Amino acid sequence: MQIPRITWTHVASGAGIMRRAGIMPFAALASLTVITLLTTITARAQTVYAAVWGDPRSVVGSSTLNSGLFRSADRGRTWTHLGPQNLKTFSMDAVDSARGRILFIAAGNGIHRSLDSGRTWRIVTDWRITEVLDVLVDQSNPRRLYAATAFGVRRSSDGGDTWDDATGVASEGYASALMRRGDSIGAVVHVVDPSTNTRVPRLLWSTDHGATWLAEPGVVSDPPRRTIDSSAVMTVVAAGTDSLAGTWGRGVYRGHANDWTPSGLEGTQLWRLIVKEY
Amino acid sequence: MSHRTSNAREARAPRACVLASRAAIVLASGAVIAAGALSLTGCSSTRPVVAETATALPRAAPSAAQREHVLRTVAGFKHLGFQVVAARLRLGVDTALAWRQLDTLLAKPTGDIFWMYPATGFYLTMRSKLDDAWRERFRRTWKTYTPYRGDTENHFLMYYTSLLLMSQEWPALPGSEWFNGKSSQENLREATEYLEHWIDEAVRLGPTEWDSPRYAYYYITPLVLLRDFVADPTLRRRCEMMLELTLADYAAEYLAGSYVGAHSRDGDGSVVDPRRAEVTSYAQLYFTDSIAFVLPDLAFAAMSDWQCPPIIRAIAHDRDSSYVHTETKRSRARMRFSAERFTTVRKYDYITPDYALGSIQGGVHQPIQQHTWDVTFAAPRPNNTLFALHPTWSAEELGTFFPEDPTLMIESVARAKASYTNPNKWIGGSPNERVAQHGSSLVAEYAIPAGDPVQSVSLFLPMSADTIVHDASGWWFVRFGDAFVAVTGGDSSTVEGPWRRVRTGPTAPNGAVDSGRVAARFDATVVGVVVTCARAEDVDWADFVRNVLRSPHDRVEPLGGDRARYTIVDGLGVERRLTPPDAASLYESHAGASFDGPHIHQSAGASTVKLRWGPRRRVLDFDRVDIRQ
Repeated sequence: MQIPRITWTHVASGAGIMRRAGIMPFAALASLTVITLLTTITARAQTVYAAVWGDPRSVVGSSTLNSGLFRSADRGRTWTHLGPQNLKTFSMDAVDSARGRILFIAAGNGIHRSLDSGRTWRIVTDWRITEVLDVLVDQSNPRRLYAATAFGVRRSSDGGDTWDDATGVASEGYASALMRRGDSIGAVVHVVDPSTNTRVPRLLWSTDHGATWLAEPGVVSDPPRRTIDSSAVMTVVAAGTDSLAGTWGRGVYRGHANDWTPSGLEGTQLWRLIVKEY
Repeated sequence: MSHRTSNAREARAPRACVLASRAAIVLASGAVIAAGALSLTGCSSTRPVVAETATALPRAAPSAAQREHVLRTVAGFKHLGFQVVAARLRLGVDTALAWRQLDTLLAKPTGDIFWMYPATGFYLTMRSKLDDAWRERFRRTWKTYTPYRGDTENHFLMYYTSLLLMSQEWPALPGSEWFNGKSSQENLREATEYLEHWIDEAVRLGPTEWDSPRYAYYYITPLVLLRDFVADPTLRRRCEMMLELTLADYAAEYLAGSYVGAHSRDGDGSVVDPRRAEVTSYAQLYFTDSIAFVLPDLAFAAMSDWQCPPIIRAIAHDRDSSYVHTETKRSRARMRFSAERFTTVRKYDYITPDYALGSIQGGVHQPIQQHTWDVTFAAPRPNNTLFALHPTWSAEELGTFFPEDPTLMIESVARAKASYTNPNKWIGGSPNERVAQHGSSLVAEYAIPAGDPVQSVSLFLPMSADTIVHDASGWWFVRFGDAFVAVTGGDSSTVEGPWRRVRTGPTAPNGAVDSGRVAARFDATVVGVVVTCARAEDVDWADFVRNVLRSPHDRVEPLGGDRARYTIVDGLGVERRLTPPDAASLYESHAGASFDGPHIHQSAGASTVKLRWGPRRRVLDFDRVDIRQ
């Protein structure tokens, strides 16, 4: 069974996410405001990835200390660094059928790809693509990839070897997150509102692999932000009655019945947690 | 206009140089040049360029003596850096220590692009001294260390300069031997493509980090390395032309050691003391006959055989007459909160032998470090500037230009650039600022919304001025050398202590140096700061004051909407009307030219730039990759 991977940025509420995505809510999340990501971990889920942007000494636009991709094979109890050190990392995805062998990192330098479970890596994008905030593998055809960048959505149809711009409204504007719903690819993109001549975040959907996009009605907006130990919660994943929260500055926390305790990667600024079944 | 290049003002640099020698300079790379390290033989060494006749060009620079001096100075620096090691090995001084330091530098690379380009410069300039073992160590670092490419124009230039030159050095390596998994040929192709693209856009549309006293340093060094080491003759020539254009752009707005007018990105120290800017070191190397202010990268320039063309040196010193100089630039790329990715920046400078008044139209075109307008004085003293700003900050400003979470960035940015959220800062643009300038007069209007974190406008007045008078009418009158300035922000100003010396520590990461200022603060929701300037050669001080005081007390006339017209009498007694922002009318006569003025002309969007000095011409033709004299 394929696990739904739902990535949402700037959505109204956790309940809204679950309702729209058709996923049962989790008790542990009831009190949480989900900001960037909600992913379910089923009983079969084995691997959790943490996308670490940096640590509090990192500098916007420059040094990204203690950053990169981390993997946990024990549901967030211990973590191992994968791939390049010093990598301003926003997100990742994997080809699920390859069970952890084919990985993609969304990072400041572009999209990094590994074909050998993270032992070696290659930046598969060039100077045209920078500040990649999310990457999504179309699991029904893993040669198809999507990248959300600060300057629009990009897509690949050859496993990341070459990239081109999405068309229409998704081709430019700040794109913060990608998601899949059935056969549709979704993206949160800041598009021009003609009435104000400024950009507003909209949720766009494409059923033809990024060739055309339709916007859902309404503007998506930021909900109030939850904090743990004074650190902003950036990302939450749930596992049965437990949850993992990635924070901006204090690493990962494990939650049970609203009692949160540190669970590794202390002192790091997490952008996202991603879970996989393998 | 006469074109005599000898200029006595340049010879009066001692006081500025003394200041520079006291300063602890922190480069963007994090390297610190300790106080005292800049001390040299005295500022008389920064001699002006001298031509033999009134229309003869100065010789090219740097001279052999300047190069030698730079290398000896850098070799004496105490901090760890590839530039220092290179200078020692080149001169054969402290070589044992130098090799140990090289070992350290290669053991654990850090600093991203600020590691890449000095490492590249070192390798290429010292290649003949490196045995196979050292070369192999260098090569290994490019396999194992993944530097962040950065997110600004100067970052990308440093990154792709380094990648191009090192992939050219090792042309046949597979992707497994490079940090990014790409083969040498792939890296060479990508870097070449980026640099060609950057040159095309920066020439035709303007750079996004324009006229930066702090970051121009990080353009000039990579361009020198590209000019020296790129194998492809066409790209090498284009890089050399970019180097010339960068320096010509600077020379046209250079006044006795200072980069005048508005800047995309200034430094906390240099914004209140322009001669302390990093780029001043290159100005001394290329625009003068000697050098007192040496920073590490100059070691690479000193080892290069490239010399600044004499016409650019002549432009830098041709200040016998007053002139208007305009430029069209671009904003940094906007990610959020704007329908346009780039917005047009209109620069306007009025440059005289004694001062320059320069501005852009207002608004925020670069985050955090923008400097929107100022008066820069030619007299060689510290703090030779006067300006006002709305010292604000916002998540929206950061979110416009950076991809991270806007609200979280305020804290992150404030940690790295401590002044950002300090209401006493002297740097940064404001979305609530609109500017109009005509010649020697300027109005900067600040309409501050109720929710803004800073409800006032700050005025920087230099304590090094000869005279500062605060008249009961609200006008400040400032005499600085042979320049007179009158400025007012209305009657509601409060003075932060007369002649107060301020320890700038937390607001000036460039070093805890006394900025020396008189600060005024205008506490009002709408402030119109009016400035008018004159030269002692044109009017005496008493008449200047008398004329300005004839300005109508009720000088603001609402025009409907949110626009207003300001009427003043300038120092020469001429009535001036200014309506912010009036970029459209100001630039009508310049037809949106990328450069327009007596020294540089470039039609909008053209690939050809014409440099002019007297009867001399130099044409940089980027399409034909040709320089014509």
